[in-house]
Amino acid sequence: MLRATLKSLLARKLRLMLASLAVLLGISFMSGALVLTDSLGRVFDNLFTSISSGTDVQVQGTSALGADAQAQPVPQAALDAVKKVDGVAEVVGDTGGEGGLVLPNGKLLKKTGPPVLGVSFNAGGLQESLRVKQGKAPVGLDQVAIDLTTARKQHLKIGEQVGITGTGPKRPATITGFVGFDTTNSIAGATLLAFDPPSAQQLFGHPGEYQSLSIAAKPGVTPQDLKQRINAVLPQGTKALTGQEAIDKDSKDLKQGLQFFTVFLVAFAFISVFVGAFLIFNTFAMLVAQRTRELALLRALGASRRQITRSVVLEALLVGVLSSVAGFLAGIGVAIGLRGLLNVIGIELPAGDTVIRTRTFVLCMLVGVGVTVLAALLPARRAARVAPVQAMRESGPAEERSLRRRTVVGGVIGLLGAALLATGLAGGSVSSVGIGAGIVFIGVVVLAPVFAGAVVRVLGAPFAALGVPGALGQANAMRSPRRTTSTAAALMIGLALVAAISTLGASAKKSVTAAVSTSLGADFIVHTEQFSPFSPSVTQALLTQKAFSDVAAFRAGEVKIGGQLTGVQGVNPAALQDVLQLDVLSGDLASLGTNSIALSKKQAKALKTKVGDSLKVTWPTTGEQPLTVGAVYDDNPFAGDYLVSDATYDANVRDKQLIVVALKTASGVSLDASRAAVETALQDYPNLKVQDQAEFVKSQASQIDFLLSIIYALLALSILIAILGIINTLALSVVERTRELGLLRAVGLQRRQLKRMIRVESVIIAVFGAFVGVVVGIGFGYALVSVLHDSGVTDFAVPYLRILVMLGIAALGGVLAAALPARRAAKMDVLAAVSST
Amino acid sequence: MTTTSPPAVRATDLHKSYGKGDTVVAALRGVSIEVPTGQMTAVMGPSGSGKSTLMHCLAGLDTFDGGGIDIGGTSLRGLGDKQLTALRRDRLGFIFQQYNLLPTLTAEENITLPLAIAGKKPDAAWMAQVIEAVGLSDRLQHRPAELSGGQQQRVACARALISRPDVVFADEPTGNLDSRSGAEVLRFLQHSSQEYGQTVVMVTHDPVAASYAERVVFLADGLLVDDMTEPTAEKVLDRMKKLDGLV
Repeated sequence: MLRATLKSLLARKLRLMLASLAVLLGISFMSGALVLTDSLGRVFDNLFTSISSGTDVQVQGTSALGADAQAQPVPQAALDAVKKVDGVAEVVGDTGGEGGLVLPNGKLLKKTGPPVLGVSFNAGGLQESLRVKQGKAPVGLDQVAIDLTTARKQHLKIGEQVGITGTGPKRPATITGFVGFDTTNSIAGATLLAFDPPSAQQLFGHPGEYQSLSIAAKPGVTPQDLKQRINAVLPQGTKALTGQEAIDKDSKDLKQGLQFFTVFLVAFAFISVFVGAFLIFNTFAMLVAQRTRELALLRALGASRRQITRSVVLEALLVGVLSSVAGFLAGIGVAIGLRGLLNVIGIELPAGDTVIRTRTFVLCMLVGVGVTVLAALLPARRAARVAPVQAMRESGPAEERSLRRRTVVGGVIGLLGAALLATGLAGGSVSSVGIGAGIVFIGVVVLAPVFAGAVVRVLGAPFAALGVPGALGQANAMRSPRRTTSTAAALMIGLALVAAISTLGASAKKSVTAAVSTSLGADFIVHTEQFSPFSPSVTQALLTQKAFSDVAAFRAGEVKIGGQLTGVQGVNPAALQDVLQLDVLSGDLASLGTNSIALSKKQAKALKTKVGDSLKVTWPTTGEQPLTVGAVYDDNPFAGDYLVSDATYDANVRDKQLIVVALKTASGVSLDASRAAVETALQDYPNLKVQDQAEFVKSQASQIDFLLSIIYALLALSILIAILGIINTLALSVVERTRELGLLRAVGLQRRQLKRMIRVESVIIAVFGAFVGVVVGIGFGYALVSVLHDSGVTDFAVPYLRILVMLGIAALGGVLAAALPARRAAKMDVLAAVSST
Repeated sequence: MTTTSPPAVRATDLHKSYGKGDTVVAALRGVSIEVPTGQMTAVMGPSGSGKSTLMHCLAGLDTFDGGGIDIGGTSLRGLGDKQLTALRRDRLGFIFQQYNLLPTLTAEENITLPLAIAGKKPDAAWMAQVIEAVGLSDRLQHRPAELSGGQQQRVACARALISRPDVVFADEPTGNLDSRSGAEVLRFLQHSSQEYGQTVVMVTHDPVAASYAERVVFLADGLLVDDMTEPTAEKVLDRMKKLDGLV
């Protein structure tokens, strides 16, 4: 039997090729994702180790809010104390932040992706990992060293004048040299601006403060020992870690990020493999149907049912193993290619090994082989049911079986899914909605053959009206609802996801627009590209312009309220009323004093508190403070959940830097004049952006679009596999219908018309899949939007244009899918086709 | 009908061989034949005699190496696939041994298929006459799977006639049928020749089938070896026995 299986496999290798290709593509996606993220993990491990190589002990700030909260700065006192500890060879405070570089041509260096980072540079320090590669180390506020990669890319020269920004206004500086690490010239493509430590403190708004202290031990002192000695003298709010502990901590954070990225990519790989499963199922189902006589002959000659099943499963197993191994290997190539691509687009990473873990291989084989065999199981069982007597009968294409059982099963699954979905919607549970939606989808796929006929009749009507080839194509598409559906199902999955995501995206955009128009009153808002902190001097600069009735500065910090880590904004309540359309429901915002807080309606309800109550608020450095609830306001995405006055904020937070400044134009001043005033005031702050409401909405929308386009790109492979599935079904159908095609040609159907007939069938299958997918997808999008209402997706919108484009692309995919099978059919020798048995 | 009208089919010194080099097989070695309009002609011969090749060449389904073919005054020599397809569609009718119908179409749609392909409307009166003659009036909305083998073949006959072709080519039309269904099909072909003046060329190896024709031509070894008018089953069988002896 094994020999018979191998022979039949070889004889039909062409027909199995597309099925193998589908498995190969899906598995290479999976293998590529795993190899890439594993390799990146290794690269970052190495990078952290090399950057911290000279640091034996590191001192970090802690937060009263716990380990999950942002670390607080380390005060100068800590550095002074550490200096005196026996066994310390050298201690240096590190600081930095997001910076800006104004090139010699006067333009700000604009980057998409990797940021511009300002760092403190302790030239020649024992624990310093940055090296001067050319020139000299910078000394003082007017000197800067730049990483070698940026220097080369921007053609910078030593001695050249540039502008630099930290959190404050732009300053001129001279380039003294170019720096880099031992293994790489930049970290993942970030531009580095290196300053001596005191200058860095001043530029990034932390005079007398550090992000961390790096300490080198004297020879003979172990890091562990030194850590204990240092911990003994450190002031409250700081702690010492050994160099290795610090590396592990950083690396763990990054690994978690990478882990998320891996899961995200692998999820899309799974979708591709799952879509491929339909293709495999179709291939085996059609091959079994075509081989009915052969199988019956085997049965007549004494092969048992079990042997028949086993031979089909074995065939699937071989296809699965071969294509999974090929996919695994191709994935390694993809990962290497992608790393090369990252370098090309400017995300420079140090060279590192390609990490191929056993887990990657095992997972690829398990998924690839498992899916192939599972998909072939049903056709294998059908093959076993072939009766020996069928060897003697006239063999035609298999008859369609009744769809009654399918209707019942599909209906039950669909209803179960709908029930779970409804429960999820009622309880606001995203996971129930997701799982419910998935089950509904399975129900729809099971039910699809039941309604396929009706839908195809409608979709195909325009083609049928255009003449005989169209009518024949439509008839062929309706011929086997199961086959049409399982071919179209692959496309359904891809398009349902695309439609759901794009509905969610359109709704999110609409929600942002609505939120801005109902909640924001400001004419302009000022912030940096990444919403990083900037100097309060910006407010002063704006106030000198006299064009504004309100200049409202927002500061953002972390607090713990009711056991929850949450954000709080420090504001001048008097300036708030006009820049936010804030509805104060009770209390008085203007009366917010030093010991009071205002909160949103949502939080007031959640905490069961009202104006006049006392609320315990824990701050990062000052700890728990009772504040009086001074006002409750209607939910407003820009106000957030909690607001305190500047006085309260100052009493608890050392950092004076701002996140956003919102401006209202004074009456009698035109918006143009007001904008000009902002630009004049900010001319020394090239890293700050001014946006009016429309621009703000647009930039938010473009971020949503960016996310959407990543997801589209990741789903593209599964759509490609779905189109391969259509090619596969058509190619096998053409073989199955050889005589029929021959007959058509004999009675006068032109080649051109024959091709058109196959194209119409293909387009109908594709559009049917896309149409059902899109309808289901919009439904899911609606469910997602409902459940995410509290997360700020308040409005529902259907991206009609985009969905029309999707249907158009599906139709085009159908045309392309038909190309090869149609050519093959048209090339068929009429005589051979008519007389073939 | 009248003997003065030009022949519906004329083949002159037709040559056709398959294969290359040492394995070349000459299927037709100079066959000349004329089929007058309105005549039902049977082509007989043992397996390998070239009778199927002859029909395929005459019907524009296969190419030929030498000689010439005229269908109703049109020479097939040098015609491309497009013109041959159009010729088959507009001027020829076909009946094959089996698998004659499209399973997705109803009997009626199968019958009108060649006209539909050409984008023409059937002549209602002619259509009714043909359907009446094949006895399928009550079966028009059925699909082939719901028809018996004989009924399917009669649908194929109706389809062959619907476009009033110059010639109907039938390739073993009764090969797969029981004798009663076969007789019905043959009577219909005979009827169409006698009543409507339809030219029919039928390839068969069955002497009884051949006896329905007005004339029988015999092929052996790629050559036309005999031409018999007013055939009967016995006469044809005798002739075939002698031919079998020759091969």
